[in-house]
Amino acid sequence: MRITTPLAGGLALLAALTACAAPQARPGDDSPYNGTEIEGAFTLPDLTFTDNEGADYNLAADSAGTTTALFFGFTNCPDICPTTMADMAQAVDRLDPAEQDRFQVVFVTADPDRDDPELLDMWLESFDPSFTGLSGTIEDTDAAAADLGISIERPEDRSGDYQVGHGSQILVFSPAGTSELMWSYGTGPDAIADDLHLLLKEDA
Amino acid sequence: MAAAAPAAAARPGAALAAALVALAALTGCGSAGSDAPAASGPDIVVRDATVRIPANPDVAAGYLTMENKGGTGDTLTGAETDAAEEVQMHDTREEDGAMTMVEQQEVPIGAGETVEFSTGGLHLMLMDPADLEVGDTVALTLRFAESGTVETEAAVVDPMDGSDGSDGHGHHDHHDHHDRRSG
Repeated sequence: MRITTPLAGGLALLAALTACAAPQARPGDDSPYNGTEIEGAFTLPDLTFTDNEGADYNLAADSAGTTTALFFGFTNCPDICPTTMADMAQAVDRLDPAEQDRFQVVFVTADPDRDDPELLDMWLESFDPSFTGLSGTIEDTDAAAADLGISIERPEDRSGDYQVGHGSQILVFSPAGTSELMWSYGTGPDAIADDLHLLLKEDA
Repeated sequence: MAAAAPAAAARPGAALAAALVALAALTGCGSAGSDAPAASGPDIVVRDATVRIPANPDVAAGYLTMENKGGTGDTLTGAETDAAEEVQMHDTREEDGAMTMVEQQEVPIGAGETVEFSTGGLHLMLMDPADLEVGDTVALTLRFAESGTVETEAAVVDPMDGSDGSDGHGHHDHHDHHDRRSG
């Protein structure tokens, strides 16, 4: 009987530690993923943007056939956006070449006034040149974000230095364009890579 | 009781030694809390400062940890560096699902407190930064309401190295920069 007390205490402590380490993980969450499963909640919209090489890119049609991670941000964002892109790039590095072929990262600028294709190209180059950067009209950008449950808060007065508020989640879409997973800000490269190994097996 | 007193009397050396150890322990305790005299003002130490190589040429992020080892609070009122036109302080807030950065004019630090500038929270924004490369250091000057200026050397890091806290914490320091205080 004496053994059970420290064991119970240890379990309680472990539970407390686990709760601290992974605030999103709910007790009894038996999902194999580090991210949140959002199967079918969103569909990639049929909206056309310009990619970082200046070509048209339709979110639905041009993502078809590839597992796609989508993130909205802006390049004047010094903290959240580069951290997210660096985490994604390091996660992609951990995939094997066959997995990399079946996965892409698409960054949509929430600040198309300042982020033209050329700037997006240069910015993404510093993380992973295989990433695609999209800019579009304000209307299409906001419509795509709204369709995907991502909020964008852009100041009316966009002169001088300004910041754009944006949802910081990464959404992952199946090759058919329906949502599968969501990673919240701060999900590290290992957790992302682990999820991708699993997901790409399922999408195969 | 009757047995204890003669024993102590018989070995005055031991009692004295014990008293000295106790005194040393007390003194050690007192000075661990603060290097300065008891009624001291703030005593700011800044460490683990990093600046990221800018991915967008207009802006670079800076991170650091500051600790107030003194007996009263202080307030960080600004920062500057020769390596950028302007240094702003921002905090990251989540409102209605959108992450927004809010510029801060002041960052208070209470007595005994540690405040971290790390990804996802408080951070410095270096506006129009110089060309920075990994391995460079950037001299940062922090201005405090009470302590005056505190200098620190920030290491230039690549976010791709994950060394500036891509796990959400900025305190994994890979550099041995000791910070000097002045003013």
